[in-house]
Amino acid sequence: MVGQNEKELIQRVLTGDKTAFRQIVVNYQKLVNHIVYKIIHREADREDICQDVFVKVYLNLSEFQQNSKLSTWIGKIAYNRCLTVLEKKKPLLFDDFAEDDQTIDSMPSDITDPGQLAEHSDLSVKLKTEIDGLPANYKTILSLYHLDEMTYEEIGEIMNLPPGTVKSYLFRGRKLLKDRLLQKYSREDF
Amino acid sequence: MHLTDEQIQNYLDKTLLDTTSIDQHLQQCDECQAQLELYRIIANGFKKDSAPEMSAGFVDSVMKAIEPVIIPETVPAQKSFEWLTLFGGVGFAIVSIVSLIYFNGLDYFINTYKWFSDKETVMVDSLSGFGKHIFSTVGLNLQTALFIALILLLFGLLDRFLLQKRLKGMRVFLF
Repeated sequence: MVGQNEKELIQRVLTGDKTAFRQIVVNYQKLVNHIVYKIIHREADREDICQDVFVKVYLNLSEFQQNSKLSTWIGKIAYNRCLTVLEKKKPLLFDDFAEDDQTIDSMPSDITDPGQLAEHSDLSVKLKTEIDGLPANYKTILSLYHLDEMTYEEIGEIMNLPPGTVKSYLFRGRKLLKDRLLQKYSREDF
Repeated sequence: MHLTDEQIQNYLDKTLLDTTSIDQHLQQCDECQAQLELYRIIANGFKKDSAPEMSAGFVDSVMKAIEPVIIPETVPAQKSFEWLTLFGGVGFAIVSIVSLIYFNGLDYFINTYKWFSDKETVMVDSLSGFGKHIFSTVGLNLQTALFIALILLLFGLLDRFLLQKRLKGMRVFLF
C-alpha cells in the first residue's frame, strides 16, 4: 500500500508539479540503478535505461493503482525495461539468465585462473568477483533482498515470480556463492 | 549431526519462530558456526555491493527528458466514471431513437435505418471487391493467405512462449 506522503507526492505530479516528480526520481534512483546494474552488462547502456524507466514512470503514473508500493511498481517497470532490452539482444539473454536448476549448480564461475585468484586477496573483492559471476536473475533477487530489504512478495511482484520461487532462488544463490568461496579459498581467508 | 544449509539460511533471515534448538547447536558446533558466519559475510557482501552512483546530472537529465511530455491526466480514471459513461451513452441512444419515432413517425425511423443498412452493404461489398482484386493481382487465393497467416501466427506465439520461459529461467522441452 502507498503511504500518505507518497499519495500526496503522486497527486502533486498528476496535477502538473514537476518538482514532486523530481523527488520521486531522487527517492527511487538507487532502486532502479540496483536492478539495471545487476541485469545489464554494458555500462554505457545502464544510465540511458534508468532514464527510460523514469520517463515511463512519469507517463504511466496516472495508471498506478496504488494497491501496491510505489517502489514495487517502479521496480517492476525497471525489471521489465531490462528484459525488453535483453530481448532485443537475444544472444546475450541466454548468457545472462540461468535457465534451470541443473545449469546454475554446474555453472562455472568467471574467475578460475590461480593468478587472478591470488590478486583478489581482499575478502570484499573476492566476494564481489563471485557475485558478479552469478546469473543476472540470482544477482537481482539477492540484491533486492539484502540491499533493498524487500520481502519475497515484493520481489515476486517485480520479477513476476511466486514468492516460493523467489525464496528458492535466494537460498540456492547464497549456497552457490558459499560453495564457490569454499572451493576456491581456505577457511582462514574469511 | 550438523544443521542444514536451509536451517542456517532461515536462521540468518530470522524467519524461524523458535530458534532455541539452533541456538543450542550453534553454541556447541564450530563447523555450523563457521557456515553461519560465511552466510553472514555473503549477505553483508550484497549490502556493500551497491551499484556505482548515478552521474551527478542524472536527475536533471530525467527532468529534461520529461520536459516536452504532456502532463498525464490529473486524476486517475475512476471505475464509477466508466460506468457513468456507458449508461450515459446507452441512455442518449435510447432517447434519440424514441424522439425520432415520436416526432417523425415510425416510417421515418425505418427509412433512416434502411438508408444506413444500404450504405453498410455497399461499403462491405466494395471492401470485399478490393480484397479480391488485391489477391488476384498478387496471385493468391484466400485459403492460401489464411494458411500463411496462421503459420506466421503459430511461429510468433511459439517464439513468445519460448522467450518467456527462457526469461523466467525455466526449462522448455529438452532445451
